[in-house]
Amino acid sequence: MPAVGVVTRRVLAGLVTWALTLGVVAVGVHPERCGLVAADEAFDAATAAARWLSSNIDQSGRFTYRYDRDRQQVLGGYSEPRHAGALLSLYQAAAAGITDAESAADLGLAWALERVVETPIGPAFGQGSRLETGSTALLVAAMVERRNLNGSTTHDQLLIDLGKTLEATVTPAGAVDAVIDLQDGPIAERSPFYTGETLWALSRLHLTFPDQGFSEGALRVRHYLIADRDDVESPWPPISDHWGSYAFETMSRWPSPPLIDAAAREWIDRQMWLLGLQVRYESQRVGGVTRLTRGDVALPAGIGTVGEALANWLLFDEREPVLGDDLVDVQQRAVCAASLLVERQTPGNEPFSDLADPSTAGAWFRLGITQVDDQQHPLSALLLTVDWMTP
Amino acid sequence: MNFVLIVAALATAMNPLRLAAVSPNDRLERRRATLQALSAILFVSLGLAWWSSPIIGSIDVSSSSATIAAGLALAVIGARDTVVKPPEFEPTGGRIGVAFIPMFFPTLFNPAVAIMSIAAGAERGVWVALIAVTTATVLVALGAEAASLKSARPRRHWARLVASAVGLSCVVAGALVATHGVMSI
Repeated sequence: MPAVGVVTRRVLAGLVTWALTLGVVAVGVHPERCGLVAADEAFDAATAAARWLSSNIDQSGRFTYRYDRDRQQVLGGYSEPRHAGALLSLYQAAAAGITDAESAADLGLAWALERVVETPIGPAFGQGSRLETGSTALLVAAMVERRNLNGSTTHDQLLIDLGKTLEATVTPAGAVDAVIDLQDGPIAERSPFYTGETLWALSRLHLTFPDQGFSEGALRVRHYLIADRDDVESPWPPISDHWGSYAFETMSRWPSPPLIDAAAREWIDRQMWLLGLQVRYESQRVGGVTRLTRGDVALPAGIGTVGEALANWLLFDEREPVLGDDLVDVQQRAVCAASLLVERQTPGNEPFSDLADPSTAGAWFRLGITQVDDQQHPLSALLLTVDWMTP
Repeated sequence: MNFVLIVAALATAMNPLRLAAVSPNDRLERRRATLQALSAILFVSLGLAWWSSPIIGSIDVSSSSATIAAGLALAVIGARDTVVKPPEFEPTGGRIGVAFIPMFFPTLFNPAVAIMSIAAGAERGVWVALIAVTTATVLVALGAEAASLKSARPRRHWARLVASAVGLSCVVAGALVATHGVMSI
């Protein structure tokens, strides 16, 4: 073979290797489309989301739970934990200065309070014979948010009683019974969310009523959450727990915050990679070919929870610096999650104008459907993330 | 990514056994060509590590995703090196020396080395990447020289097995690097 043939053959072989390898890499890794969103754009998006919630609550205080945009039809179903979660987000919005949010939240709170019933372990929020512990936990979180907002102590005794009920759902090991039966009391079922929700509720109650002894139950749940929960309830993948991040942020404001030991640090690290991975993955979903390699976009509520978690860890880090060199990356992921939300929101800058449809304006849809928590979580995420955005 | 993993990934991706296989038989000519080829890859890898942030920024890829990309590239190159026997030495003649083709390209300058250099620079910073690239290059030089020793040359089938083993190590390094990228923020 002539010398020039050797060179050509080897160069071609090299180019084929490069092409094949880059092809594999292109399938495995896509660009991450994180738009630049200014703080005021994020706040406008949060305002529009809050207005969707305010516009889609009836006079009894019940939200439109699920809506089909294509059929222009309200769908059935309801969830008390999500009702309480929406109240929480609305009180957060009111605290951020968004008008109309507080009155809508108070309407929804009245609906919830009418459904607080007596159980063998104390009062709890829900309907039917089996009450979900998360409903009570998030109602407590929302009521504390309201108390912080307007200083009202009207419901203090109820808050303490609800807290005692939550404490009674905590097992000696720190796990949380997910269901309260009206006849039999706590049922030993587990939920991926209610452990973190209960921890957060107890943490908020301890911060609000430090003499009521809520810290003992909270610390027991905290220990279970960081040391045992993933092993016992979800060995793989570990649970991505935005409510846990709220709880850690709240506990960092306790007069004597719990120590960040090796187990806590390991759990935080695990949360960080789960959250980072979810944002990176979601930001690669831009339609077209990425539908084949990454699938359809995630539920808006899911992206919102990731944003909430990241923002809470950033707040936590301000008091308990644990992120170290990862701080910038966490900030970038939080802002990226917020930018995805802003980008995917149904335009709703003027939701009460004649042109805007109040069923859709300011909402997030996936496959033509929106649910109340598709506004709840993005709203909270945007409000919590605004501080890390460019003005 | 820790320093040892970066060095191991780069050194196995450069595969000193495959480098030795395409190097000239004459000892002096071999050493000169090896030095030239390794100097070239050192220069290119250092450049890629140095400009890693603007490179990944221009294609909207985070350092975590760049690390996953490096792991995938290492797995592909490692798999090739595991199953495809090393090419033989062939004089290229003309103005293009053997140090450039095939020693530098495509043996040393392959996608795994390039993307790994970028990922290391983006994640660990330029200076750690520079030291890692330099260390890996020195190890490859020593490995290639050892594989080219007169006493080792007749044992070609052993050299081929070792080249495959290095390829397999590259696959393992790729899996570790990709896992690290997945589990990064």
